[in-house]
Amino acid sequence: MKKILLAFDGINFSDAAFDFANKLNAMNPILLTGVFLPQISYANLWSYADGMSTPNFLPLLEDDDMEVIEKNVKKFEALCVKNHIEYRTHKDLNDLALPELKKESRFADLLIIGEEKFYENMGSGNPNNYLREAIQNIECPIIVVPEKYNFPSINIIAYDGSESSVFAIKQFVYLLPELTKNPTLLTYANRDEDSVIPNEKYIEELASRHFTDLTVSKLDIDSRKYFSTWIADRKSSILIAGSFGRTSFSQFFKKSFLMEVISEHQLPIFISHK
Amino acid sequence: MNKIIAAFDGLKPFDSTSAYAVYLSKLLKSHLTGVFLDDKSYTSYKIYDLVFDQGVSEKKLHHLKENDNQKRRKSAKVFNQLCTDNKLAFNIHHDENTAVSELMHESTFADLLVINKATSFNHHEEKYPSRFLQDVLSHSNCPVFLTPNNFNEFQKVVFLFDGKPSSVYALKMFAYLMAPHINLPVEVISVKTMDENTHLPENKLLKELMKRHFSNISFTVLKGLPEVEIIKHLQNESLSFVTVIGAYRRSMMSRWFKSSLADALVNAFEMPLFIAHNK
Repeated sequence: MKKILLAFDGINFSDAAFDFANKLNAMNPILLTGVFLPQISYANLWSYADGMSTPNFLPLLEDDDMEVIEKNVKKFEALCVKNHIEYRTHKDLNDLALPELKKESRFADLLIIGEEKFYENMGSGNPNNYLREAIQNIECPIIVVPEKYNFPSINIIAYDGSESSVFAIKQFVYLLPELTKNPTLLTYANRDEDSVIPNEKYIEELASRHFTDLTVSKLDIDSRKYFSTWIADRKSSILIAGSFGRTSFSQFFKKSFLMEVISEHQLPIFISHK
Repeated sequence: MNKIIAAFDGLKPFDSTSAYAVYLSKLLKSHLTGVFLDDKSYTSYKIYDLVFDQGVSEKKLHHLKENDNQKRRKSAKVFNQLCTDNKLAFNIHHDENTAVSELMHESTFADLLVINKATSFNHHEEKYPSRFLQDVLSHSNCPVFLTPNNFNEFQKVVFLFDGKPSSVYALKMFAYLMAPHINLPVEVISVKTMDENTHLPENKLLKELMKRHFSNISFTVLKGLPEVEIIKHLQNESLSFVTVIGAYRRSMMSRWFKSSLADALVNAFEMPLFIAHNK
């Protein structure tokens, strides 16, 4: 049995994220903890205050919003009862959002976030700064679910030979053994035709223990340019990736390919990094 | 199905490592890989052994090398036989480069690493923890199961909890790998300083998580210095246990001043340790 978090920022409610949790519960009972976060976190004010990428006013938590939050809590509880899910609600409204979420995630096996609904009204940029920051700081694996999605029947593993991508694979199989029986495609994307899959023998030895139907393949495409296009054609699959463990320095220069996939948001993504 | 790797020094293999590895593989229904670290720069003889009156003897060098190779082959054969006898799915890797880096590489592609606490890759007797083991414990890319010198089936799980991310991470890793296959009592031990109250840190959240994975849980809160109190408390334990612990990775600076809690536990008890840490 797993403890799964569902994070809602104040006024937004992601039906897709709930649906995903519901389907997991149907396969194997879970404890679903709804975490209701405050609308805004003042801790991050200064870092976003560049005037360009964020709105120049910040909505406050007002009485109207309080009502919406209460309504969301009620909705969450009603849905859990209806679908026979064991649930808890944590209202962490008085503290700052991200530190609270970080702590909650420490004591959870998995976090599910609705991609479009998470701090929807916080800034442009896709994915928005909030989601970006959340993904980097959370202490358990995350599944980012777009609002329109199909529950995955295929696993696609983005493997780049790094420790972090292997770490993500391990976390995925520990947490969602139910999905390991699905057809699984382990891909290594590299434009250079001569390059081989790094540590192919090792990754096969590990992955074939866990996935019953595994295909290992190399895509001859530039992963940073075309991967998100390639993946868009693979409907009803889930992408497993670990490439967030990059230093802020390296992120400064290179855009993470994961961010691109998220911003195209056609499929759920399982992200885990050390 | 998981993949467990057991690391051996072919020249000084420990029986308890293979015994635990076989036991865990059966328990977790895992594939077992024996990793024999045949580091070329490490030999059983010393350079001085080669020297005689007229310089260095090629013949003697050849003889000593062959001797080492034989020893290594023999330990791999013994492991092979043990796995065959126990009807395990297994294979063997021989890694000839520097032992630490080879093992770290293997650990990336494994679910659990089993290694003996006295593994040192050194001629002389090194006190625990050896340099080699310190490197392994602080850089491993999968959880480490540190075995004592004698095999003892564990009947209880002791989880050391300090509220820090890495202790919870260790708990999660232990739960994912072991919890579906064992039904043992779990004791959560937390140590607080004298002037704090005796509440468990993050009580509510911890229980909410733990109850999903374990059914028989007890909680103990002690007061005083962790290294002293935990050992004192565990000395009264009659069951044999495995300790789950998070933080091994500490900065060099802080290690100068005090040894890690994990090291204290290894020195105090002949019991296995499950160590995992994130970041």
